[in-house]
Amino acid sequence: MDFDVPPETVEFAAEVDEVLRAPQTARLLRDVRERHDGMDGDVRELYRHLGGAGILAPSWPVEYGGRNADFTATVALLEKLVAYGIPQNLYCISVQNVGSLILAAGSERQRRTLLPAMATTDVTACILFTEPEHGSDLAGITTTAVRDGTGWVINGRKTYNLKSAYADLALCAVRTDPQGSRYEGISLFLVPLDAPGVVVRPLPSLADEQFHDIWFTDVHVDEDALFGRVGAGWSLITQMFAAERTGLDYYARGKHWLDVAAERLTRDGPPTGLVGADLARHRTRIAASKLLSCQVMQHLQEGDADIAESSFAKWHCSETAQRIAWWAFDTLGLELLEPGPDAGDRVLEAAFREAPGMTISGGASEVMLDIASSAHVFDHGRTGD
Amino acid sequence: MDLRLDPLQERLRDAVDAVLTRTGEPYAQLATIGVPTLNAPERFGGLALGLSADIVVNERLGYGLEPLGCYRATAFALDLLDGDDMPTEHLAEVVADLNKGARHAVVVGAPGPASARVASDGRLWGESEPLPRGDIGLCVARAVRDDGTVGWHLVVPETGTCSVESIDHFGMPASRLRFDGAAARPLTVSTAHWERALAAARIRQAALLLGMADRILDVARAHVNTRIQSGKPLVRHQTVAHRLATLMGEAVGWRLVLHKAAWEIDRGERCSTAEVLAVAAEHARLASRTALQLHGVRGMLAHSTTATAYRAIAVESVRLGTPADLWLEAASAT
Ligand SMILES: Cc1cc2nc3c(=O)[nH]c(=O)nc-3n(C[C@H](O)[C@H](O)[C@H](O)COP(=O)(O)OP(=O)(O)OC[C@H]3O[C@@H](n4cnc5c(N)ncnc54)[C@H](O)[C@@H]3O)c2cc1C
Repeated sequence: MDFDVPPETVEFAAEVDEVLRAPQTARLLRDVRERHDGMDGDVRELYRHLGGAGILAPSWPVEYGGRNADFTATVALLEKLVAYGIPQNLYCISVQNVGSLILAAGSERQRRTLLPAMATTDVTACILFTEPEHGSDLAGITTTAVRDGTGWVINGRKTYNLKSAYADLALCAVRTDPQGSRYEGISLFLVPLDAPGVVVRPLPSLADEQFHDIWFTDVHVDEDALFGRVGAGWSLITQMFAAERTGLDYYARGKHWLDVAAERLTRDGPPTGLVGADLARHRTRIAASKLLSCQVMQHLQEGDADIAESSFAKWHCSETAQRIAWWAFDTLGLELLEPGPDAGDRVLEAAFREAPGMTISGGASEVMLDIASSAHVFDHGRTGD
Repeated sequence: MDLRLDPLQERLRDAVDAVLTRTGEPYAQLATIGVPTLNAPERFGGLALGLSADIVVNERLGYGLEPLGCYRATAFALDLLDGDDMPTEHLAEVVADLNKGARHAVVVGAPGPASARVASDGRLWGESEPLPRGDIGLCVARAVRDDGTVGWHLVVPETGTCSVESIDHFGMPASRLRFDGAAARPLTVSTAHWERALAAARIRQAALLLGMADRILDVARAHVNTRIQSGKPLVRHQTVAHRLATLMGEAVGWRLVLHKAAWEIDRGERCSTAEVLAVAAEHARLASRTALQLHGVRGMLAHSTTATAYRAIAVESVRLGTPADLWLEAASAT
């Protein structure tokens, strides 16, 4: 094994640092934090500034707005975005999840028209899978798309999605064949969210970023909104989950929270006793999270994606980050609940509110363990019975 | 041994439950069944029924997710005052209001280092930690004196030298008391008396937390029995059912530990309760975190019961010190 990162990544990380340290970045970040829109705070102008510097899609091919870099560049980028306090959810959903799926499975036309714009965040996308009655049971979704003369008509309701108020497009899972099997009747669409018949309503969250409830009433989309083949939705979703569940963004948040908590706890010298031991334990565990996440990304890069491996990495990274947020609260107590002017205080208070959602979003922990145990614990998983 | 609630405890439990269904300010509503008076020291017009009765009230407040900090804060303050032989006739009017539930008392500076200061002229300066919201009639404050020693003081808040600001404490309504030269009368509180008052305050807090945990586990139990995914209720997954079964079973054990501690305190046989509050706080946290997880994304909605309980339990679980600190204290006491 070799744990060195390539020199290109070191250079890239330095470049990212420079962009993130620039006064323009700080100014745009302050604007986001003001939350002038009364919602999450619109991060798109800040992203466009970062995207303009060409740092947001390092692993994509150059012709689609990337740099052909290896996965370590993406790791460095995420760590730095989080450390500088740049909200990363819209970026992860749009570029890392939807964009990467378009790169892996989109038509050449979709790649050419969408990816460069997504890499600069001139176009952003959200994910609309969950429905009121179908969360973990995603294969049961009931939103439909029916062919009409010129394209498709979508009807139904998607809910509890993040960032949709800031997205131009939605990657939407719908049922195109109500008679077919639960899995084969599902297709994916890239739906413009400004289409007539789309209504988006906010749902306030315990965490800082709101959810959305979205109604589709006779929403007409063109044929080219279809993503992949009709009926190929489930296998595309599985492919996306294998790529999405690297755990990277959970790890990056957990690491940042641990750094902030450690800074608070070591102000008067290295912590001793139980606190010192806990800190060391969390540090070791978050190191394992990072390496598990890197292993998934290396396999993805080599075209060797494994949904069980990704699911476990997502479980590990999200559970670890959550434990860190809870431990910071359990250790700092009321001090943490009363965020003062110190930026670190606000980070940990917000982390405490965000933490419970981490082991639910992108697939609940229990479901991740179901997938991992099917592959590695049950006999039939190993033999393929 | 008889591990059932006694008739007085049962009546009290039912009465508090009934009161919590009424509309109107819960603290004042509780006064209609004599709750503040039931447990207040006799010297302050109370019946001094003891902690065994008091914990029933606090458990039910917890179960109703009505933390009502003013109730416990008043009890704590009166317990502290009860140790001082200072004449309290001049407080008669305030005490009557406390017993009616019209105003409440607070204790400032109990957890952590004291931050308020008393000048040589006996005037108090500084501000409190987050306190329960409501009309504060009496304040028992721990403050640093001019000579650097730390001691207890009685303050009857007056306009001009005391102001109350309404604040949001992790999403829960709270207030902060600011002292701008408030007249502060020194109190003599012996170590033994302080320990007794603190032990009782911790027991009340533990009761509240166990009640909150019971409630959120009930909410989770109802949810996993009704939420169907992939054709079956969530409760049919063993990992779901076992987690709730464990927490509900643990709760029974912790409740017995709590009741035994209250009973021993009432008989004057015990004064250290750090470990009881530590287990109650840890149990309540785990209950609220598990309940939220089992609700899936719905649990994250800002106004859901799970999110409210997550916040409220977080605040109440550290109000009188973190479990980690309580465990260290318990360890050094044994
Ligand atoms: C922060 C956040 C962001 C999200 N963003 C999006 C988004 O952008 N787009 C989108 O479409 N959706 C989004 N979601 C929704 C997310 O995909 C669903 O929450 C998730 O799939 C789980 O579904 P559910 O919440 O309905 O939980 P349910 O399926 O109702 O499950 C509830 C709980 O039951 C337990 N459980 C479920 N299945 C099992 C099992 N097999 N074994 C044991 N226990 C089980 C788990 O504890 C689970 O948390 C987001 C959720 C969160 C919290």
